[in-house]
Amino acid sequence: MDDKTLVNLIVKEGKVEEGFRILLKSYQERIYWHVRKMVYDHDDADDITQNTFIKIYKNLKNFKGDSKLYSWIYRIATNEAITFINQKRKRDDISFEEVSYSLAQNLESDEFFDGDEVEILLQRCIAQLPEQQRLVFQMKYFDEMKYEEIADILQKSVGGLKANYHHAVKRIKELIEIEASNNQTVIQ
Amino acid sequence: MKNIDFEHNKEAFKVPEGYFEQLEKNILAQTVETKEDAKIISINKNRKRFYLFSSVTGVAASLVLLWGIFLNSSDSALTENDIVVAENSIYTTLLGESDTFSEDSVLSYDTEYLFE
Repeated sequence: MDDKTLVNLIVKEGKVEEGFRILLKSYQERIYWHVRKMVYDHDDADDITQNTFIKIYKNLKNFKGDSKLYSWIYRIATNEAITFINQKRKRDDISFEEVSYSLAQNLESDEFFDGDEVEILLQRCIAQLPEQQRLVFQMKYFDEMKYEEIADILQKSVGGLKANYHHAVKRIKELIEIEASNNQTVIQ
Repeated sequence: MKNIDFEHNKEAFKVPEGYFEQLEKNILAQTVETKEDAKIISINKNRKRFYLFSSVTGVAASLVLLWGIFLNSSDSALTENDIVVAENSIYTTLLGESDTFSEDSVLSYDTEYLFE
C-alpha cells in the first residue's frame, strides 16, 4: 500500500489501528536503520525505534495529512535520535560531535558490527561532523534520499542541504586523510 | 560512490536473527494490542447511584466531623483526668475488678508491706 492510500485509510476512513499496522510493517526497517546510523549501538537504536513508533501511534489520530507521511515519520525518528544524543551530551557535558564520536568508537567491540577498518574509519569521520551536516550526509549517502525528501523531513531549503552535503563530503575527506596519517605515524 | 573514493560496505551493521519480527511484536504489544486487551469495566446504573450516594455521604460525614473538632474543640477536648479515667476503665476491663483504696490508705502507702 502506498502512502497516499495509507493516509486515506487513517485520515478519511478513520481506521487508525489498521493503518498503524500497515505503516509499521512498511517503515520499521527503514526507521531502524536511519536511527542505527545515528546512534550506532543496536540496543539504543532498538529503544529509539520503539519510542518513535509509540509516539507515531499516539499522534496518528491528529495526523491531518498536511505533510507527507514519510517525512512526518522520519522527522519524529530523527528528533528522537537527536534527543537521545542530547541527553548523553547534557549528562556528560560534552558537544554533539563528541557524543557521536564516542558512540562510533564503540563500533570495534560491537557484536552487531562487522565492518572492516575502512568502515570504522568512515563512521568515525562521519561522527565528527556537525549535527546538520551529519544528518544530511547520512540521509543522502546511506538512505539514498533525494534532496527534496530530506528538505521535507528537516524543513530546510534544498540549496542549503546541497551546501551541507558538499561541506560534509569535503570534511570527511579531510578527516580520513588526518586519521590515515595518524595511523601511519603510529605504525612508523 | 557519491564523491567518497573508496569501497565501503553498507551492510556492516547487523541485527540479531529474527529481530524485525520481534520488533514489530514489541511495538504492537505497546500500542494497538494494549488498547485491545484493556478490560472495560462497566458499572450498572444502580451501582453507580450507590457509589455516588456513598461518596457524598462520606464527604458530608467528614465535614461534620471536622466541624465538630474545630468549632467545638474547647468543649470536647480531652483533659488529663479523662485519660486517667479511660485508662482505669481499660485496666478494669482487662484485669477485672480491683480493690479500691481510700485517700487515707494511699497516703499511708507502705511499700515494704506491698512487696512482702
